[in-house]
Amino acid sequence: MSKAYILGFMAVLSAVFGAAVCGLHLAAKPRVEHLRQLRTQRAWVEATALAEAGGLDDAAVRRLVEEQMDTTGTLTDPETGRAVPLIKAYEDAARTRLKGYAFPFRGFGFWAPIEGILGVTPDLRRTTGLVILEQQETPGLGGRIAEPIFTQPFARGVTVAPPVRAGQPFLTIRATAPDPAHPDAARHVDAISGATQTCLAMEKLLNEALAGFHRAMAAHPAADPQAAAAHEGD
Amino acid sequence: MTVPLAVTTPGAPGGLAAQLLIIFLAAALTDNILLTRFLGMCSFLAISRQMKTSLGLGVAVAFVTTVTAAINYLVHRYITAPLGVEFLDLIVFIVVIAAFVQILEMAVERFSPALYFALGIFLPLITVNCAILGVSLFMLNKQGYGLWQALVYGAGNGVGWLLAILLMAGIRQKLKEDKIPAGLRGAPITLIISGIIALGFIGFSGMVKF
Amino acid sequence: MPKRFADTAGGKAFLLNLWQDNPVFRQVLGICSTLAVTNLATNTLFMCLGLTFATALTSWTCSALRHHTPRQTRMMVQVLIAAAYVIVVDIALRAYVPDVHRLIGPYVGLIITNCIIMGRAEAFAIKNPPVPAFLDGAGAGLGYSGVLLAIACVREPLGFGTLFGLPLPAREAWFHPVTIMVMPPGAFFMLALVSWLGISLTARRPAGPPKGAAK
Repeated sequence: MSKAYILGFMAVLSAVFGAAVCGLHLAAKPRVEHLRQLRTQRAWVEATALAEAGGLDDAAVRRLVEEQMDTTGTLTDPETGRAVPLIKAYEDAARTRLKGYAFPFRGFGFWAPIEGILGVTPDLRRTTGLVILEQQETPGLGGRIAEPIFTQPFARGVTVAPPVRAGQPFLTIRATAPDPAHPDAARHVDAISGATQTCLAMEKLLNEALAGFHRAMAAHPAADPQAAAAHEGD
Repeated sequence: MTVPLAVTTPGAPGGLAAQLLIIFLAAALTDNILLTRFLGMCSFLAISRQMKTSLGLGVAVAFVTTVTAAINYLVHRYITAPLGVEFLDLIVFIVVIAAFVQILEMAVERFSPALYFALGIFLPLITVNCAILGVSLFMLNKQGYGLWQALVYGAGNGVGWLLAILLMAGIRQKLKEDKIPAGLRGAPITLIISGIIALGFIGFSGMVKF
Repeated sequence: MPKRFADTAGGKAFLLNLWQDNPVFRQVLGICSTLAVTNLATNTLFMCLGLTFATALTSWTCSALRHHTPRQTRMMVQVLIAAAYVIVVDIALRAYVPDVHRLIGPYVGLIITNCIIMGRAEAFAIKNPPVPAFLDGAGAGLGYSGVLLAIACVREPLGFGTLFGLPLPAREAWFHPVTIMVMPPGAFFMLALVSWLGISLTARRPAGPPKGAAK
């Protein structure tokens, strides 16, 4: 077989399969984007504990987001210059009583990037929920960060107020629970046994995200007077 | 201004050379791709019977890993990322690896027929050695890696794979004289030994942050 | 009818791959994913379906193109075809069954590099017509699935006290997590035991040396 034939064959084959894959990707893109948006909205609702998102259909989630959420805000972290999208959730459709905030985070896990949404109370002192949107950690081990076994403590509320001493973490994810009398015991989350690397990565990226979020909120007192007031108090 | 106690900015201390050395050692030893992430097991189990073929395959894998990590870094950086077609990364990476292995196969066939026959079906199977594709994919997840870092990361992982297979070949050479039940000979006993070594290496995993 | 199926080239290859020449314990292929996914039975099942689909179709396509493929580039052709099928599966799952995609998404890369796909393409599909090649690939995929599910059905109950995500009867009374079964070394030991059993059982019947196995 001649060299020209070999090259031609490979070129045709690559073109055919490449075109097929690209075509399918483009055809599926709108649908994938739509599903992704629905999932993100569901995550906002779940992270801010606005409703039991599991029992709602897509239309109900969308209505809740449209009526009781403000998703247009963006803050800037003064230290890194990075934009921090800010989602505000209200208890009522008139948007008078603030229920809490949610913000997206992203970082690197053991295998691949981890993406998710963390919700906090208006005074920024406790979590209201955690939703992992994207992760490719080891199934059955690190992959369980997306399951209730890991996320439930965040829904019940983990203390994430700014640490008293500089350099201390907002929260810790460890295998051994601290003494309940310890002042930082409320900052503790149980790690998943056998998934040390993923849990260390989660601890690091959540602390970084919280630090950035607090800096951004402090730099934008106009973002929300209620939160700014709470921040002043620290 | 207060200085934080722990500086974890990648590559901050010691300049480029020190950073590259850390990347290399971490990839080769503490984060050994075979013993902590269990990639590249098939050829590891099949070929580790003899020291000589292990060395041959190990060097081939190390070489392919190093070169394809660098090529795939460039492909991602200058072709797929700017065009916004990252979903093609997987297919492009594996074709780059396959093409490179194909060239290597021809070279080995020509210059070392003995090694070529010893490696048999497993030379083409380097292509689907998940360790090699794994290195190319993990490299994308590392923050702030340039071409040098990608190259050294590839080399570190490749050398780590080579060390692991030599270690196993040495153990298996000793096993030849031992009495092992017939059904356990070959892959099963190798799996048990790998399991024990892996238990040890899990303790190392993530020890060096890089 | 079953006898006639077993006498055809494809049927014979299909049945051999299921047991006698099983890709996992006889040919020692596809070990990485065996270690990675078998701690939960549901994930294992999805992974096995994906792999069987990709192996059968890749074998079929490689076989259909076998007279036109230059020998020098056959490996590139094989991985290109396998990667394309796997990405197609990935996109289809992502767009139409996102819940399943969330379960098996992380394995997609593993499917491409599963040596069973290329092992079967190299050992069978390039020498045989498309239909037998398809059956050979499907048989290898199912033989692999059988071994993986057997391992998962030991690891999940011991590691989590569940099977396919459902709690086993009287779980509280007996269950104490065996963490090593959740972690990869547990898979090494289980795979060694299953291989030992498989090799011992298949060795009793004189059927010649396994094809495609390492020398």
